[in-house]
Amino acid sequence: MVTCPGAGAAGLARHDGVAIAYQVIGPSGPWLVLVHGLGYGRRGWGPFATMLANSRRVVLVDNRGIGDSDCPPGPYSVDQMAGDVVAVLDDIGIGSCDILGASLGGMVTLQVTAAHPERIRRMVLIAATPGEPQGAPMPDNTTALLRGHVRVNNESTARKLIEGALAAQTVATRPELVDCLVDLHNEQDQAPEAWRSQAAASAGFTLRRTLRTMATPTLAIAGTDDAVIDPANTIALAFALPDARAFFVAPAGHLCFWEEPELLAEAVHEHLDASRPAEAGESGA
Amino acid sequence: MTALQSFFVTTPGPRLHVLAGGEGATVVCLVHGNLSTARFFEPLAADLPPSWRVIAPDLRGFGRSEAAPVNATRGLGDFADDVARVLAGADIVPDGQPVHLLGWSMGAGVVMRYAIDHPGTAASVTLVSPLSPFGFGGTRDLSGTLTYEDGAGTGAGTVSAELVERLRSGDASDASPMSARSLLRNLYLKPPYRLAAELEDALVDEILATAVGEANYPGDHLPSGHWPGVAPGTTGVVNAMSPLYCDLSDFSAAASRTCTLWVRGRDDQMVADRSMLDLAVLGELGLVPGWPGPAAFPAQPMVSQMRAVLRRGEQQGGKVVESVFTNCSHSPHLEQPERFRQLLVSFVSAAAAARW
Repeated sequence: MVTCPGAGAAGLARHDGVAIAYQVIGPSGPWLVLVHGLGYGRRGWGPFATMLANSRRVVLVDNRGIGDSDCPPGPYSVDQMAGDVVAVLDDIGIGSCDILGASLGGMVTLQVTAAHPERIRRMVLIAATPGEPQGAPMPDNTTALLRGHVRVNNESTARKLIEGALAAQTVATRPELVDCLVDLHNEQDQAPEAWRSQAAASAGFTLRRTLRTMATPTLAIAGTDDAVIDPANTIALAFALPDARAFFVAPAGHLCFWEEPELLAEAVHEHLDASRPAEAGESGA
Repeated sequence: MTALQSFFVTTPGPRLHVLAGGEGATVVCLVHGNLSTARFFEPLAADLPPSWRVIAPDLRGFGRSEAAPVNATRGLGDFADDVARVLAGADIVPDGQPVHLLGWSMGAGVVMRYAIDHPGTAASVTLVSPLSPFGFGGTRDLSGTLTYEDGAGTGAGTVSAELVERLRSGDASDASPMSARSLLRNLYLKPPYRLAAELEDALVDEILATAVGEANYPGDHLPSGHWPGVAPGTTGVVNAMSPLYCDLSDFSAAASRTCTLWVRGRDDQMVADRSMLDLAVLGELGLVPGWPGPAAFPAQPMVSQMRAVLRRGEQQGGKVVESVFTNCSHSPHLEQPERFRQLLVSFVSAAAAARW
């Protein structure tokens, strides 16, 4: 079975009257905040979060609309959700930290960094897009899903969506992983309205800040077989952000951190542990 | 579907065989590695965008190109010159137009050499299962420090005599693990994956077209007082890859002015931090007697050396896209062709649109 992060220090931040739940795992080390995508709460990282927490204090956030966070009426926006993450940083008392976001969480990560560059040391984007025009268009199936033309209200629909977020080869060869993700979906029991409120944030996102002006060192990760968000976005992000590299894992889909957690964790640790000459000087190393 | 045409480039220097196709404005040059030819790119080239023009030479002494001698003391310089001659002489690339370079294995080393020797001409660089920038075998750390000053344990003298003999006699069977067909199946690819029989037969014939001898494959060798008793000579392919002569660490400067796609298979047995062809690893496994131990002769950290050179390029402003293909050995473009093609097309398209 898949190991999920165990119970650690949990907290509740407030942003505009909305309670945002979070949990800290990992005994010590630099702060890393994880921001998840559409329909996934803090348990939705699986073994990947545990691997990251072996040398860091990892903050797992329940976005508004899922888990123990409030589910105010939607639609939500990436701006709001970025404010939620900043509220979590404030609640813990984190001045600056590393941040990692997947999919919708990648949009939130870009927005947090765009709005508060001084609080973000390094950033990791997984299966992310800056939205058009800086990014590639969403695939038609994803647009239909986000605009609510596909109803996500039963297990068979959920299973189809999960399978579509994995590489075809993963679905064919690892049925136990698909089952695990379906179980996770059922356990999370997200209200359909809350899902739609989050989906609206994804559908409406356009990063207003020009990527070329964002100097935060960045690792942009994608699965080669991602059918939900065009992996060409990951190259676009790496090319446009001044200090960025792309990392692809093949074959893997939108949920590449579930499919190849060791490879991704290794790349993330390397990126976050690297220090520029300036940083090394600041820390006295 | 791009049909490749076969022709020869004759000016000046050795007569070189080239496969080329497409008529688009994006020029992509594909450079094969050791014991392979341009034909190994045929499945890839057959399905590239119509806006691309593809050109793939057989390097000297491989495939149908002339077996001109390889001056190993120039490292991969002779091969990089072959590429330059093809690009200049094939009447395909307008003068001064940057070219997207792709090299596989030793060919990636050739592409790095070309990019170092011709600054500003690479529109992008794709390194597929690249030879370490410090060559093959015989270096001990991330900065490529020679294990022995005479390059002992690297070069032509380390190549299996049986392999050389089977190449010379044209053995197309799979009777021995040292036959071309067995190498293709077990080292180039990750078993149980197999190429279609017709393609496999064609590529075995391509390997068997290699010019065997002291001037080409594998080259000459010298005695050494160090383990395992042989050092590189001065001619031939395998000596050209010896760290005694092959130093591509300046590629970091070339990489700082362009974008680089690095593709590798997670299960690659040949280029790895513990390569199954590294004498240090073979010695540790007891397959080469008398190994002096990890302090005297450590395994070469090939992948980590490549990463270190690319990181330096990034720190000076270059862009790197790194990718790991799981369940894949040394030949991602043959083992996972569709996925490789999509990644390459995304990368080259983005690189062509970017300004460097």
